[in-house]
Amino acid sequence: MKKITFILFALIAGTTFAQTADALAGADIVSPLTINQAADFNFGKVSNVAGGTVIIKTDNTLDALSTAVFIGSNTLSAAAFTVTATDTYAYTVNLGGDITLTNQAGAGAETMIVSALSHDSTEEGVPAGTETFGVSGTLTVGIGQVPGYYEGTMTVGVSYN
Amino acid sequence: MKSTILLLFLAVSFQGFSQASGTSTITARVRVVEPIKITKSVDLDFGNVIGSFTTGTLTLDPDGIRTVNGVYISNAVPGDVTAAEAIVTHNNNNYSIGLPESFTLFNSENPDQFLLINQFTVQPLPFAGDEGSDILKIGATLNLEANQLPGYYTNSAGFNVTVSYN
Repeated sequence: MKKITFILFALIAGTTFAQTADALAGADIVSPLTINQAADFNFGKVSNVAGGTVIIKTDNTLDALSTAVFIGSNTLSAAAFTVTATDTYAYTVNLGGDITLTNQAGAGAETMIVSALSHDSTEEGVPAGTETFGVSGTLTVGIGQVPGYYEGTMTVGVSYN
Repeated sequence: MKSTILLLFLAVSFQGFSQASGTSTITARVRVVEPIKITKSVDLDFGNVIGSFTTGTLTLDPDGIRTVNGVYISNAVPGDVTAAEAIVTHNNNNYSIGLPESFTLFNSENPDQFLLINQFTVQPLPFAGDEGSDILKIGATLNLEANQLPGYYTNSAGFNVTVSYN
């Protein structure tokens, strides 16, 4: 009986030897990416007699390789977007596929395509927090394209690398 | 020093059971155990976490693997990611590990902004070269609010890990 008492005492004494260590914990929170539209594409007013291409560069000027004939004076513009990102975090711009423009006066079957989309984003960390980049594209006008106002939408995504 | 205290206790107990006359012999055994020790070797670091417009969690496993739910991590800029580590000297005795329920981290630039850590997990592994020691690897889950303010979050108080013999 005494032996049992002593052994219990010894075991209980062991628990008083509990020891504690402290560890620090840390996390670096980075703000999410945001992207907003800054400018729409505007390909101007184009003749449908011979058709052709309208190639707009990211600086809102017409590329010399364009073949379409313009009607009147036109203010052309490339698409532009503003990205808000955290400094030092590189990201990737995803332009998606070609844009389909649809005759707004038609039944939906009359379309034109904007292809060869390209952007001038650095895709690098933005010290200032925001970067506005342009998107160039090539509109192809068919010979005898049904006249009208054509419109379409493009969706651009950004993601941290 | 502790062994001395145990022996004194034995001597006093013998007195209490002494008989009016006659003698008896008993055998008393006490195993004196070195105190258990724990020493932190690595802090817990969740690395860089990209916040979200919704709530989310990041779970860091004891083996250092991050799993996100609702928030994001950058593969290009992961930051320093380490599960916490501590060395336990147990002298080949069984022991139990006590982890905190939760712990709060504060934004180093805006102390009114905080993050909660919970669901601590631990993985004891044999410490190479010393059978009487283990290495504890400790992970936890980081809980982010929607639009969590960016910045470095920490808490200089540190969280406690307690070990005691069973």
